Amino acid sequence: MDPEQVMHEYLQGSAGMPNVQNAFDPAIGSLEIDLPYAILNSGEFVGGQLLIALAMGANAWVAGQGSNEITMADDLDVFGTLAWDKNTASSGDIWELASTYINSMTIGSETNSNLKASFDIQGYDLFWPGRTGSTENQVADLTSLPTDLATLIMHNDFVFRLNPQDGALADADRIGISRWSSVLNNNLTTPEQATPDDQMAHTNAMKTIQPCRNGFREVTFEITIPRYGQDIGDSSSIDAFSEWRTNETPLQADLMATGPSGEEFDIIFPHLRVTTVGNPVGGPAVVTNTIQFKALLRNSDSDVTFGQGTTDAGEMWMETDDGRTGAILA
Amino acid sequence: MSGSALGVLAKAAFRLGSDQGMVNAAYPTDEAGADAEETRIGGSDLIPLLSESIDEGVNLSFDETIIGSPAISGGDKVSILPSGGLDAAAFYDGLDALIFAVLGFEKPEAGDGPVAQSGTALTSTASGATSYKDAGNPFVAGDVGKFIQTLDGAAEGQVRRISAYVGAGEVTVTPAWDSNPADATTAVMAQEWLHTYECANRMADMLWPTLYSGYPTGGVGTANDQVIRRGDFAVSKNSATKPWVWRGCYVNALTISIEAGGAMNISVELLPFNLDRDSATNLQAQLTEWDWDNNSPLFQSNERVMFPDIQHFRLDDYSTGTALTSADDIGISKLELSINNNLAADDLDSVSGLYRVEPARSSHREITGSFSVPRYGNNIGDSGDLDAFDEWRQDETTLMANLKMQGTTIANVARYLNMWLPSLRITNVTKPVNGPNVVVQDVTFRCLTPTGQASGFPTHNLTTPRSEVMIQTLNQCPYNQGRDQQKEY
Repeated sequence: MDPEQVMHEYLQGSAGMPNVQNAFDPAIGSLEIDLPYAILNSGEFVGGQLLIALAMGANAWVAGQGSNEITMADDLDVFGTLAWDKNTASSGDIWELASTYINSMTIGSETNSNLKASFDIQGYDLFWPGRTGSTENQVADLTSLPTDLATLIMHNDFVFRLNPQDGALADADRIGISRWSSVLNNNLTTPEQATPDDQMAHTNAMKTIQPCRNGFREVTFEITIPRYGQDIGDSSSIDAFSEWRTNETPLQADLMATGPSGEEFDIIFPHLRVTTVGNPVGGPAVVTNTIQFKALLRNSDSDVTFGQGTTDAGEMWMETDDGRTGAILA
Repeated sequence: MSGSALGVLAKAAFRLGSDQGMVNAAYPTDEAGADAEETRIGGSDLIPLLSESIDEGVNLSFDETIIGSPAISGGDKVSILPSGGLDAAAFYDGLDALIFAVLGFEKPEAGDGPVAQSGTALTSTASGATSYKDAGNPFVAGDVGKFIQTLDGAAEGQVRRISAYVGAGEVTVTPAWDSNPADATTAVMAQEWLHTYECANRMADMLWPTLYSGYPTGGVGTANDQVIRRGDFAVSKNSATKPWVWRGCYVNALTISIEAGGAMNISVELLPFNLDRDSATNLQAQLTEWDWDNNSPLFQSNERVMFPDIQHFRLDDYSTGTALTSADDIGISKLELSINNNLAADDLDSVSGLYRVEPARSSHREITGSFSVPRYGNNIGDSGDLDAFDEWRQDETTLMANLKMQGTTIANVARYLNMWLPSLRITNVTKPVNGPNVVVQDVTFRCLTPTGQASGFPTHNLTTPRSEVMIQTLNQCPYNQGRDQQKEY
């Protein structure tokens, strides 16, 4: 909760503050997770792909392949419930954030580590044990969840490919990266207060009205190449990124992770533009190369597709082939 | 192609000037103009790099027209505004070009800028294209590597390196003279040189006679020569490829810092015109030529400026009649001096297109600094007062200061770096009790335009206005940074 309060600051003959009142009760925060390949265990799914799907907004199950395609929704109108047991009691209510929207998502991995994601979230209402009104979920619901961990998606599972939209991505386009990250910012409205509204079914003026897009969606992508001095992909130039930036060259890229049992986690960027290139001589250490991109709507020259050969108009797509047996946003 | 990109193997250089010559120089407005202006880096241009972080500054404008989608569909390049900085260790040789670029003036008369130290006076008989002849037989074999600076006549203003000893009355010089020294042309031969740099009002390209009415035009100089305060900064990041060359760099700011137990460093903020990674002028094969020894076999090893090199830091009331003395010495543990030209860097116009218009002053030049005195409780200088700094601040007292750092003897004289601050005001003094530690005094100051010639200070050569700071270097660099004297690469 991030309550906003009003101080009683009127002049009343005393230097002290006589009172304070709650004005608004938005529920916002952040969440960080490690991302495994999703598994199905005793009828429950273990994985973070639901949060990703909530952040991006659209999802389709490809029955033939048994994969999920996650894409961007123009009108982000999906939200979920987050629940967590802080282990303060053996039964009863738990902490629960209802009607949670994902305002932004940062996902990435680096050398010697696994894939991680963090989310800026805003919900409608936060419940905790002892608060009036019971939660949808109870301690028993969480303790019954599977405890064996799915296989984490590791940095070393990924293959990164990038080219200037001169054909389908291939082995010749592989680029060794030591770190990557992508940020999706939905630019939702910050928690807004309004009096009760019949049309919006808004009944509690202390809670936020439903968030919606308040600006352009922004998707950025960043990579670090551990050595400056190697030709980039099949470009025959060590300064290809700088040249692509100067020449405003559209690019395309994908990050394909394959797990030990053949699971897959793919991120696809159909249209990228280089925004900054950094390879300073920072001292006697090796010179690295850090490149930032802006992801744009798919353009007609883009060659990348989903596994089944289809495409999407959005700036970033994900495709997962794991323990899921149906659409994530079912 | 590929190669190692190891920071430890990187090297950097900075050279002032235009390859089109001082008469035809012009700040570039396009890639071709930058190509024409780019100078070749060579044996006098290496700088002691610690790190650099200059960005090409390609700015994009993304399309946010509302056409029914929340996503951005495209973008366009709108400007190329490189900027960034470099950090360098302060050595006695290797920083003259940067110091000139940030301050803007060195007296151009031959014999005054720079001044030969322990020099040998020469008088020419008619010399050839690559010779200097002197009937007085002043030369010895050990003069190879020294430099000859011509002082008068049609040959005035040239500097050439002695490359071979022919006899007591003749040496060979390189490269060839632009104007052969005629009979009776005087010159001086030396290995050590004293430079004095002062602040100039304007930093953009301008005619020398406009900046300084005494600019000599009787020798190789002409009334159409321009004084150029921009240069090319080149960095070799990868031994297998050409160096990165940042062309047309103005120095917007330079900060000098030194602290007890360490060495002096400088930080420089550059405003390049553009970057060329495929220079036709500066090639990979030339990287071995980058040096600071001026191609002279007599060059004595370069030295870092270390804290123990500080001869004195003196501070007392500004005076045109009483010079600073040892009685004004103050023991400091740290000092920093920042020179900020406040150049307008982001202007574009329809002629420059993507690139910046030539930077020019957009505000007052700011020269500020600070120093620390490790003990509070001793009288300050000869003030008889341990709170003199506070009182000077309170009373708005105009002060003058001098910081001199001196290294080892080059051949005859000791190299040094001398900073003169002829007019300053203290802006803040702090001496807090921060715990059980000793109480330290931290003083900040701002340099002002002097109203007169401070006693004991180098003579101001620019007097409208006088310079807030003068930096002197005594080293092995024989070239006036503002004249086209450096003909070797």
